[in-house]
Amino acid sequence: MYTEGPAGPGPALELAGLRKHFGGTAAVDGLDLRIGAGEFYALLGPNGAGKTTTLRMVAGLLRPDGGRVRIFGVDVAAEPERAKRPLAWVPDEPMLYDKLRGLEYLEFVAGLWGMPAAEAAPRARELLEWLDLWQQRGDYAETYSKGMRQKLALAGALLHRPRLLILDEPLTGLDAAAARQVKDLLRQIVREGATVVLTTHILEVAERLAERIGIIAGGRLIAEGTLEQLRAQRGAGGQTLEDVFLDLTARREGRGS
Amino acid sequence: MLRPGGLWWLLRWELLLAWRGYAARFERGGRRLGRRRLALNLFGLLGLLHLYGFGIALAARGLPQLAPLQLPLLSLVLAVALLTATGAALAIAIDLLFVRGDLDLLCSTPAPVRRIFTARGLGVAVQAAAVPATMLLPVANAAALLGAPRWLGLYPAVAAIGLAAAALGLGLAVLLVRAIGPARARIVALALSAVLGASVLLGIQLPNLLRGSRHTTGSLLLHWSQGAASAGPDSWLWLPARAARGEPAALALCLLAAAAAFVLVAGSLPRGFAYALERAAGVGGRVAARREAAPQRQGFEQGLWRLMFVKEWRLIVRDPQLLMLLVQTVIGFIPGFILLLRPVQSWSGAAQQGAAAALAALIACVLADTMVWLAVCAEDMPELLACAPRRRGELRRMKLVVILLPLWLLTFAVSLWAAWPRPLLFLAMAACIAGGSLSVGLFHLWLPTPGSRKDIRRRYRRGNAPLGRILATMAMQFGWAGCAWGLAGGYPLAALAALPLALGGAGYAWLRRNEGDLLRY
Repeated sequence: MYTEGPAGPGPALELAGLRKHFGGTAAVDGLDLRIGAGEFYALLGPNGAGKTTTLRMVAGLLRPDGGRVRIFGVDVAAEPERAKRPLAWVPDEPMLYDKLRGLEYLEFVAGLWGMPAAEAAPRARELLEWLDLWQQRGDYAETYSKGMRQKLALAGALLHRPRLLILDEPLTGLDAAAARQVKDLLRQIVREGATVVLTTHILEVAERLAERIGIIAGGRLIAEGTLEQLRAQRGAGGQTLEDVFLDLTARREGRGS
Repeated sequence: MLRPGGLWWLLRWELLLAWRGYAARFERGGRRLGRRRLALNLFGLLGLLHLYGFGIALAARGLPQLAPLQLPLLSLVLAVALLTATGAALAIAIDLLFVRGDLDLLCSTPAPVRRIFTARGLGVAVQAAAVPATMLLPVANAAALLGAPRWLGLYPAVAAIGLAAAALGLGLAVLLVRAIGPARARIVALALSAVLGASVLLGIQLPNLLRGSRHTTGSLLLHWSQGAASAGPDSWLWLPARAARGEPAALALCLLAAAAAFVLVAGSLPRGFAYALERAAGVGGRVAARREAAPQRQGFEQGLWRLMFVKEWRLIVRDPQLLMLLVQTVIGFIPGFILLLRPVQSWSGAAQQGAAAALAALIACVLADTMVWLAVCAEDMPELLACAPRRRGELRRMKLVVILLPLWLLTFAVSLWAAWPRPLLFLAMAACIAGGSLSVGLFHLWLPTPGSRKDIRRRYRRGNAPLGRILATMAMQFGWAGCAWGLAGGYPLAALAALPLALGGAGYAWLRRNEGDLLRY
């Protein structure tokens, strides 16, 4: 079960008035978001909408210019170590240590999160077997294919049983079988009680996996809800998520109806 | 115009790629150097090489008593040139055949495979010949201008050395890959190349440096060449030397022999290459066995300190390029190490003690600078570390300690050996080694220059790091060396005078320490 970290009250992730500027450009512009514990949430948006910047601020990789990020009620700016304990982050193109072997990488990650060996070693084996990497556990990461690297990064993220898993484009570059494996794994960890937030350009993935979908554009949340709620907002029952998404983002840019 | 797909056309591409790789070394902050600037740099380099060439040619003219020994001495020079060129050819051949990875593309074209491999082999020959060319051709030009045009025979001699070195290098590369697979062959090739370079340096310097030896390098060479000269000027042993002096028959024979060796190896390369890859895949069979035998649970029971130590040192020792750089750094200090390892009783006095201590401090600072930069500033996964539930800066400080501790153990042990039985001298050396390496390390912690491991050689090029940081690092290194010289040599005022320079860099970094945010973890 995904029980590690502070069991604070309230939602798994809460963003309030989050802002980030790069030069004179607002990448994230007063974003408000609440994601409940145990939810599977997809954050969608066109290129440059501010998805990755938002997730990087959540993971503590970027400092917000304004606003607040709370993970299970813990303020990331005020108590970063405590807030990050239940968190895991998988970037879109994970950079691994090329000269570490798969198992050695997981060993290091377990050390960073201070996991006891009795828990870490069987968990590492379980994940590597699940992701079909057990045979390659003794190979250097530099010999892994892109999909294998992605899976190893995911194994590292899941090792400490995070209660909040943040994934930036997790299926990019994976073949059909590997993508299926990852999707099954994500479903499984949500069933076990973890919260998953992912960004993706593959709208079919969001449509099939996510319980709620948020659409951001220009650094602001422009629509949010279940697929049915989004369709209802647009008054367009029967439309696909792609239709809704394109309609909403085109409207925002003043191109649509 | 060269015929597309022809041998010379393929060679032109080989050389263009080699040139691009070479020119990339002069890039500043990812920007290519302009053609005019590059030409100026090259002319400057050529000018310097010719100054050295004229120096050698004039010195040789001023020593007529050496004329009878010319053939043995020249043969020795040519042997050294062939040795260094072969080392270079081996490393280049492994890279071009098994690492660059473009042979699949080339071999899928209609160009004959043998031609592709011959062009690649010639590419190796040209690059390998660059090493002896810089050593020998400026001397040939200078001698020709001073009235001895026969020395222009060094030009075809260098070509013969390039061909022979390429033949040896290519053959060795294929054999190595067959035996141990491409990845390990690359490490061995780089190590062999470094060892060959070091053996030449050591061979030249050793007699001068060992106090116990009654001979100097010069006297040993003279002694050997007098003995060798007794073989007579017509001996076949001196054939390469006579070729280099411009004797047409000897020249033709040497060129023919080198070309024949090259053609033989290049001709067998396509089969040798394919066979080596097959065997390497067979080594892959061993890989499968190794996979089965890979540990099921490794070091999960270790604490984070130990894990960090193991991780950082694994990343260093498993990277052949990095190891090569460290080996080269150490090789650069070999004469100094030899001085340090001599018994202290043989030192000539306080000044020499000071010099030894200064050298120890400088070596420690240079190694600390490289290794702490690698561990702290060139972290491959800063985002992973930033996400970890650790206090900001905790992991950076941890890295500094795990890098410096083994370095201190090694340099303290060498210093203790060198200073025995003078404890005060050892203490002075140890204090300056620890102070110097810690200052350099803290500088990287407080004022980092983030980069990638592959940029290790370029981290201090203009455009990659601000001039202030480069100067501050140098000031620290030489400041601590100065302190060590003053303390160990019995000049306390000099040590005191060097202290501000030694501490200044770390102080400057501390004052601007918020830039540590650049590292993100």
